[in-house]
Amino acid sequence: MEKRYHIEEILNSLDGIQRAEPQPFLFTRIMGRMRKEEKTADQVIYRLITRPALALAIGCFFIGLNTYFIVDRLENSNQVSDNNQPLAAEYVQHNINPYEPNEIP
Amino acid sequence: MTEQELIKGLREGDNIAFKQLVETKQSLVYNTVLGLLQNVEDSEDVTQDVFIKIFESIHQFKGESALSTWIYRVAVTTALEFIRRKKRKKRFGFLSPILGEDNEPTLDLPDFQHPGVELDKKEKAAMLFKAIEQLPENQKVAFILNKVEGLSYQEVAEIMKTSLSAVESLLHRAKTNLKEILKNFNNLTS
Repeated sequence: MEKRYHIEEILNSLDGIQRAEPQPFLFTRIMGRMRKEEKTADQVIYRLITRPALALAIGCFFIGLNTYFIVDRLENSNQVSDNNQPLAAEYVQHNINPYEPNEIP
Repeated sequence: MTEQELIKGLREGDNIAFKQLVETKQSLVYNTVLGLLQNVEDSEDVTQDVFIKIFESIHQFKGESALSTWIYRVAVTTALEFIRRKKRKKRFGFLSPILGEDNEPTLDLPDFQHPGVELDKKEKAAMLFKAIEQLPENQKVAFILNKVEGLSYQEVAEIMKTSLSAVESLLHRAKTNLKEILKNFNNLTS
């Protein structure tokens, strides 16, 4: 038969708890880890940029950026030619050839 | 070495000061982390993380509180970050091949047996730790600091940067919740 406990007994089970001790030579292990981390700093950057998700995201970002600029440029060039239309028409209207005799009404 | 000399040495990157800090505060850090993580191997790693963090960010210590209070704060924050990261890994474990993360095992661990608990209380303490795991973060921190670390309400309030009444309320709610959780566990009489 399994044991049954009162809730209060369980709640008080940490009374008189002793302190746990970490493995010996903690300082040596910390120093070793700090040295190792210094060495691997470059490796971390390499590992980060070679992550598939990050590489894919960077690729998508540049494709998106290119697409945006291409579309933007196309739209602008159309607008420029549209804006020039009335100006060109006006230029043609006022451009009177001095060598052509004026029509006598 | 006095506390002021220790802090000065740490700010100058002095290894002797750092060694003294590790030797005098390792029990404080390890026990706090162990209470929150409930895993001996993870606690060893996180304890190392805490000391590295302290060494690298000692310039952020303004001296407004005691050094121990600040160390407790760093230990609690680092342990909670570790728990959140582990939970996230467990939740999004299926994405790890795409994200390129290390495939560390994220399985649920068996009941935690705290090495400092008396032999006749081991089973009951394991049940209590299992229930503590289900508490909200701030209630869990307050309960561990008070019950496992044996800190006073005032000290807990300073570490958690909150008021004394807030800590009293947190601990009261923690005990109520623990009773509820324990009631729901099998084979219990109330």
